[in-house]
Amino acid sequence: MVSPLDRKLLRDLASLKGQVLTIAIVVALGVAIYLSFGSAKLSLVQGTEEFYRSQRFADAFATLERAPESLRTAIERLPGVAVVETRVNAPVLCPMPGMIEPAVGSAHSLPDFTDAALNAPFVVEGRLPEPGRDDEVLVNDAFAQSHRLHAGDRLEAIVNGTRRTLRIVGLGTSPEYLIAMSTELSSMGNERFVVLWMRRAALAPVARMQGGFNDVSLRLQRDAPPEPTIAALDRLLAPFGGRGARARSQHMSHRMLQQEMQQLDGTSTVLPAMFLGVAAFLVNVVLGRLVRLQRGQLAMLKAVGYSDRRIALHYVQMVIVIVTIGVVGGALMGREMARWFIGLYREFFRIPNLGVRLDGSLLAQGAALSFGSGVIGAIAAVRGVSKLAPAQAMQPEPPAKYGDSALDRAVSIGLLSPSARMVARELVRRPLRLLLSSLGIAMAVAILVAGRSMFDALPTLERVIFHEMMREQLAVRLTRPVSPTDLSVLRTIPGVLGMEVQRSVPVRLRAGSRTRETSLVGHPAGAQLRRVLDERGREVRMVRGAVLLTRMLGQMLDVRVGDSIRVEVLEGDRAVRTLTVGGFSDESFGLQGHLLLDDLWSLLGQSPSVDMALLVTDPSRNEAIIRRIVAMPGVAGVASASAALARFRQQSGRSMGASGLLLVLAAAAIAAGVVYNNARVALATRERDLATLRVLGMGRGDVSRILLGEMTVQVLLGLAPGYAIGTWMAKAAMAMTDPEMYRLPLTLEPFTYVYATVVTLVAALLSALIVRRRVDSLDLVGVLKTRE
Amino acid sequence: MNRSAEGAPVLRAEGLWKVYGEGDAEVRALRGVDLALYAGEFVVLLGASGSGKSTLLNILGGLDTPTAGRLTYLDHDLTDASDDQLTRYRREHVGFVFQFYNLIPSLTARENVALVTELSDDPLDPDDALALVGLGPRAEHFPSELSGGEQQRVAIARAVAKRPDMLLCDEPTGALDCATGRLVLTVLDRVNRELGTTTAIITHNAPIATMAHRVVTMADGAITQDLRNERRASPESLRW
Repeated sequence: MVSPLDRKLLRDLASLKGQVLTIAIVVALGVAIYLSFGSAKLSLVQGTEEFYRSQRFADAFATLERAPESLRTAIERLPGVAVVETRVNAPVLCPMPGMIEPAVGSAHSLPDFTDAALNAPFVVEGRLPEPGRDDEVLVNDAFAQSHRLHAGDRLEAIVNGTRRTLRIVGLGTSPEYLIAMSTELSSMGNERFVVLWMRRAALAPVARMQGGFNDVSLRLQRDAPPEPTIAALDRLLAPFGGRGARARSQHMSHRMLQQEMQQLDGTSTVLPAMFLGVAAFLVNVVLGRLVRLQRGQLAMLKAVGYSDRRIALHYVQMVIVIVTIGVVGGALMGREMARWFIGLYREFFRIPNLGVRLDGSLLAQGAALSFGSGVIGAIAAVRGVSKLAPAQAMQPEPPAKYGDSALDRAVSIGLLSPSARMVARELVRRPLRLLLSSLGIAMAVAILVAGRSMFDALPTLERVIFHEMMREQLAVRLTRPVSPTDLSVLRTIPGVLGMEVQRSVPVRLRAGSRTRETSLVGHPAGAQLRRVLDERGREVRMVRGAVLLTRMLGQMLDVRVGDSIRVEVLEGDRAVRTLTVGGFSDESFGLQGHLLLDDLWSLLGQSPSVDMALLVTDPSRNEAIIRRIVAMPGVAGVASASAALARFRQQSGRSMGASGLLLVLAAAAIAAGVVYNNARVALATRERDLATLRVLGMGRGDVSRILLGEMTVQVLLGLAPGYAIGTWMAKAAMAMTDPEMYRLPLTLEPFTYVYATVVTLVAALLSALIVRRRVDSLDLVGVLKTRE
Repeated sequence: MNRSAEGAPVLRAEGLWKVYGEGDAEVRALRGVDLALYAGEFVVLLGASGSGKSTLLNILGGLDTPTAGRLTYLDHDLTDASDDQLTRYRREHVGFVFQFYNLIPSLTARENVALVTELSDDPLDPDDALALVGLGPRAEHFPSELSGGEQQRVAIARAVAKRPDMLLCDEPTGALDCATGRLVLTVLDRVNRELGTTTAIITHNAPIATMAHRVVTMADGAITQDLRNERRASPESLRW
C-alpha cells in the first residue's frame, strides 16, 4: 500500500520533471566520469600488470655495440640479477606500398629453441617463427593492422641494410611496445613504426652478430633496488660500447603509460567533484523552492502529527529518487564511456585482452558522493521549515522583506529603471545563490577552457617543430656513422637541392654528483635546417667549445652558463672530456645537448663522421628521391617533414573531434542545469509579481526580460571566474605531464575563451528560452485571485 | 454629476457568455451579460461569491476573453483581440486594483508606481500619484514596511498614475478592516471626482454600493438589477 506521502512524492516529482531531469543529468555526468575514468584506469593498470607478468617484462634494459655471448655469465653474476636475456637487435626499414616514406623500426631476436625469457612477444594472430626458418617473422600488430597485413603475407624489409623478403607467420605485441611509437616525432603513427621478431639464428647473420649480442634485459631479484645493478651493468658493458642501462621506469612505453594513468587520476577526481558540487547546489535550489511553496502543506502535516523527521525524510526521499535516476543513468553512461575509452586505448596502447573492468566499488563511491551531496542540499532546504511551529507555518509567508539591507537602498541610486531594480534587488537579496549560480556557470566555462587548452598548444607546437626546428624536407638517418664525403652521394640525387648533416652520440653528462644519460647532437656551423631555439623562438648560437643543453636538462644537472660539465661518450673509444655550458635551449621534446660538429668530432677523437642527412628537395620529386635513398645501404630511415605534418594534423584532428564534443556536452549540461533550474525556481516564486506586471500592461517580452535578467547576470558573472579556473586547470593538467619527455607550451588562444563563452551562453540561452515559454503562458487571472 | 448617462458608452458588453469546462464539468460563469460603462461613472458591481462578477470584470479589463458575445471599447472591438492587442489595451486604458494589492515586494512605493508610468505616454508624476492617495511621505518604503491599507493605496496610485480611462477594482477592501477600507474608498472616490476616471468596483459588501452612481447586481452569471442611486453616500459615512 502506497502511503499518501509517497503518492505526494511521486506527483511532486512528476510536476518537477524538467528539473528532476536536468539535475539527474548533472549527477549522471559526474558519476559517469568518475566511473569511466576510474574504470579505464583500472583496466589499464590490471591489463598492463597481467601483460607485464605473462610476457615477462624486464626490470632493466641496456643496448651496446657488441659483446660476445660469453659475457652473459658475467651479467648473471651481477648483484641483484635474477634472469638475463641477451638479444640481437637490428634496424629495419620497410618500404610500404601507398606510403612515400618507408616504415622504420627494429628487429629483435628470439631465442632459437626456447621462448623468450624476458619481453616475450604475445602472439595475437598466427604463430612465432619456427627455428631454422630464416625468412619467418612475427610483426607488431599495430603496424600490420594499419597495412592490412596478416599471417601468410610477404613483407619486403631492409634489415640492417640488407634487403630481405620475409614471410609473416604471425602478428604480435610486447610490453616493450605498449605504445608502438618510435622516439622520433617524424615517425609517429602505427603505419610508420615496425617491429619484427625473428629467431636469433636468422637475424644474427644479417645483423653481423653471430656469437654476440647488442641488447640485454634483466629481471631483478625480488626487492632488489635497480640502481646498483644498473651501475654494475654499465661498468661491465662499457668496454663493449654500452650505451647506458636504464630501469623500467625510464622505459619509453612504460613511462607514457604511467603518465596517462596519472592524468586519468587527476581528471577522475576534479571533474566529478565539479559535477556533484553543481548537482548539490541545484538540489538545494529546487527543493528550497518546493519547500517554500509547500509551506502550508508542511504545516498541515505537522498539525496532524507527522514528525519533523518524517517530513524531512519525505524530501530526502525526493532527492534519493532524483539522485538514483542520475546514478543509474550515470552507471549506464559510464559503462559506455569506459568502453569507448578502452576502445581508444586499444588503438593507442597495444595491450591484448584489455577488457572493460567496471569497478563496483567505484560506482558505490560515485553513488555515495552523489547521494551525500544531494542530501546535504536537501537538508539545507528543509531545515528552515521544519523549525517553524505548525501555526506559524500555516500562515502565508509574509511579503518578502526588502529595504533591510543597505544594498537594497543602494540599488536605488543610479539611473536604473524599476524593472532593472527588481532584477538587481532580487540578486542582492540572495547573494549566496548568486555566488553559487555564477560558480556553476564558471565550472562550465572552466571545463571548456581547460579542455580546449590542449588543442591550443597544437598550432604552437606545429609551428615550433615543423617551421622552426625541422626545416628540411627529408631527414635521412643512417644505421652507423659514415664520413661526410660518403654522404655527399645524396647531393647527386636529382631533385636534392641542398644538404646539411648531423651526428648524434649517446653520452653520460656529469656535473658534480649529478649524472644523466642523454645524447649530444653535433651541428655544422651556421646550420639552417635544424636550429636550436630558445623559449621565444630565437636561435641560440653555438660557440666553439661550448655545449647548449635543453633547459630542463640543465636544471636536472644544476648547471649554469659557464659551468663545466663532464661528458662521457657511450660509444667507440668512450672518451671522457670536459665542456663548458654555453647556453640553454627550449625544445619541446626530449632532453639533449647541442654542439658544433667540429667539437663533437674532437670529443670523439675520431675522423669526421655523420649519421644524419637533412635534405632540401624539390618536393614534387620526393617520392623518387626516397626510393633512391631507401635502396642505398646503411640507411636506417627516411622521414618527410610534410608527411609528418600531415599525420600530426590528422591525429590531433581526430582526438579533437571526439573530446571536443564530450567537453561541449558536459559544459552544456552544467550551464543548462544551472540556468534552467534557477529560472524555473525564480518563475515559480515570482509568478505573482510577473503576472501583476502583465496585468499592468507589460508585454511578454518585458516580463521575460525581468525574469531572465537575473539569469543573465548570473551567467555573465560566472564568465571571468570561469576563465581563471579554466586557466588554472589547464596549468594543473600541463603540470601532470612528464617534463622529461615533453614540455608543451601553455598557450591559451583568445579563441578558446570566446569559444567557452559562446558554448556556455548558447546552452544558457536555450534553457532560458524553454522557461520563457512558461512565462508566455502565465495564467494571469488564476495567479491574481490567490493570495501568496 | 458631471457626466451624461445618455452619451456613448466607453465600454460596452453585449450578450457575454463565459463557459469553463465541458460536459458534466461545464460551468457557465456568465450567461448573456449586457453592460455599458459611461465616461466618469462610478459603478459598483454587487454580488455573492460565484455570481460571475469577477469573471465579468476580468473580461472587461482584457485579462480574459468571452466564450461568446461582443465587447467594444469606444470604437475598438475587443471580442477577438490578440494577446498583444489586449496587452496594449490594458497598458493604455485600464487600471487595476486587486484585493491582495499585488505590489512588487522588491520595489519601493514610488518604484511600484514608476513601473507603470514608464509604460505610459502621459502619466502622472509618481510622487503626485502617491500624494493623491495620501502617501507622499511613504514613497521610499518597501511593501513589507507598509500596512495593508497603505499597500492598497499604493496599488491605487499605481493604477491611476498612467491616467487610465477606466479603473477596475476587484474587492479592493476585501482584505482590510472597516476603517482602513473607508480610507481606500475615499481615495477611489477622490480619483473618480478629480481625474474623472470611470471606476468599477466589485464587492459582495452591500453598504459600499451606496457611494456609487450606479449599482449593478449580479447573481448566477447574469445581471439581475441595474439601479441608479438618487443620492450618493460619502465614503466616510459607510459602515459595515
